[in-house]
Amino acid sequence: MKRYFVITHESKDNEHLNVQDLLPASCKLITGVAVNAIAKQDTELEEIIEPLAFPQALITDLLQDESITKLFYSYLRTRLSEAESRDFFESDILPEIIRILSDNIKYTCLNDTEQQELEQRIINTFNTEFTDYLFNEVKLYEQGKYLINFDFADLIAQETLAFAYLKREDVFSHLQQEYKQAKPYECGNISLLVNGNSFLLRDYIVTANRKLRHMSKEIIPCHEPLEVNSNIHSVFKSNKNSGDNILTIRIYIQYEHK
Amino acid sequence: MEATKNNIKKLQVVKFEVKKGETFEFNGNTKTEHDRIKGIFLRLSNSQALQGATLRVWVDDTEIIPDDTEVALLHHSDDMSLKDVAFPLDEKAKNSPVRIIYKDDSDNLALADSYFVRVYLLAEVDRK
Repeated sequence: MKRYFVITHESKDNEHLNVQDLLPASCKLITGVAVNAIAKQDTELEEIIEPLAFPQALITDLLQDESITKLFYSYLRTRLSEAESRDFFESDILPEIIRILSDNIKYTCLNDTEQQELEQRIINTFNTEFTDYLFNEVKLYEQGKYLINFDFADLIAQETLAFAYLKREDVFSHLQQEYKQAKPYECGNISLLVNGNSFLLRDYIVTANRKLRHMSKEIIPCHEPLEVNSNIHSVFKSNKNSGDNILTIRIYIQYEHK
Repeated sequence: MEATKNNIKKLQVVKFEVKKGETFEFNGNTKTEHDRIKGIFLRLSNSQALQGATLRVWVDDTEIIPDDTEVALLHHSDDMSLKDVAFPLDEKAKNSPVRIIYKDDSDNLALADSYFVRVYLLAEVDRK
C-alpha cells in the first residue's frame, strides 16, 4: 500500500532554501514525488458575465397557453396583406408571447431585481427585433399562407425559440461577482536529494498557484530504495518573482508501506 | 484503484460545514455493515476555497492522509470519473473510527462565511 509524507517549507522575501528533513522510519522505498507551491495573495472581486442555462421549455409554454393559440387562429382570418398581418402580430400576438415568456422564464439563482432586469431584457429584445426577424428573415406571411392552424402555431413557437437562442448572450446572462484567482507564475526551481547524493528531482521548475490536479496525476514516479533514518535535502532556488508574497512549498513523498 | 471482484461497492458520505479561516475536526465511525474502505475523495460546495486548504485523515486509527496535504489533491473535479479520482486505500471499516482535520486557508478570499465539505468514503461489502 502506498503512503505519503508531506514536507512543507516557506520562502519569504524570495529567499533560497536548503533544508534537510528526516524521512519516516517506515519509508523503505520511495515510489514518487510531487511538488506544489502557493503564494498567498490578497485579491479582489471582479464582475463577470455568467451565461444562464437556455430555457428550452419555452416552446412548450407557448403552445400550452390557450390565449396564444386562439390568437394564432384569429391571425389566420385577418391576414389580408403583409402590412395588416404585421400590425395584428405587433398589437395582439407579440404582447402575449412576451407575457408568457417573461412570466414563465424564472431562474432561482437570480434575486428579485435581477429577475426583473431579465424580464425587461426579454421585453426589449422581443419588442424591438422579433417582428422584423419573423417577417423579414423567416418570411412568416409567405409561409403562413400554406399552413394549417396547428402548423402555424408550431412555426411561430419554433421561431420564437430560434430567435431567443440567437439572442441568448444578450438576454440570458447575469452579472456575477467572482474572486479573482491569483495567476500562476514560475517561482524558481527545486532539487531533491536523498542522503545528500541521489537526486529525486534536479532543477525542477516550480510554478506557483497553478491548478492542482489529483494526486495520481501529480506524482512523478521514481524508484529509490532507502536505508533506515534516511534524510531528504530540499534545495530551492528562487527566481525572485514572488515579490512580498510568502511562498509555501509542499513536497509530497509517496512511499511503499507494508 | 483495485476493487475486489464480486464485492458490493457502497458509499459513505461525511458532510460538515467549514467556516472561513477555521479548522474543523470531524470524529465519526465507518458503517458497521461495510467491510473495507477502498478509497476516499472530497467535494467542496465552493471550489474557490480549495487553494491552500489542507487536511489530515485517519481511518481505523491509521493515518492515511498526512498532515498538511492539500485538499486539491483529493478533490473531485467535474471532468474526472469517480474511478480516477478516488484516493486508493485499503482499511478496515466495520465501525472503525474516522477522524478528519480540515484546515481552511481562504480568509484572504472573497468567499461567503462558510461552505460545505463532503467527504466520500468508497466502501466494499464482502459477498457472502
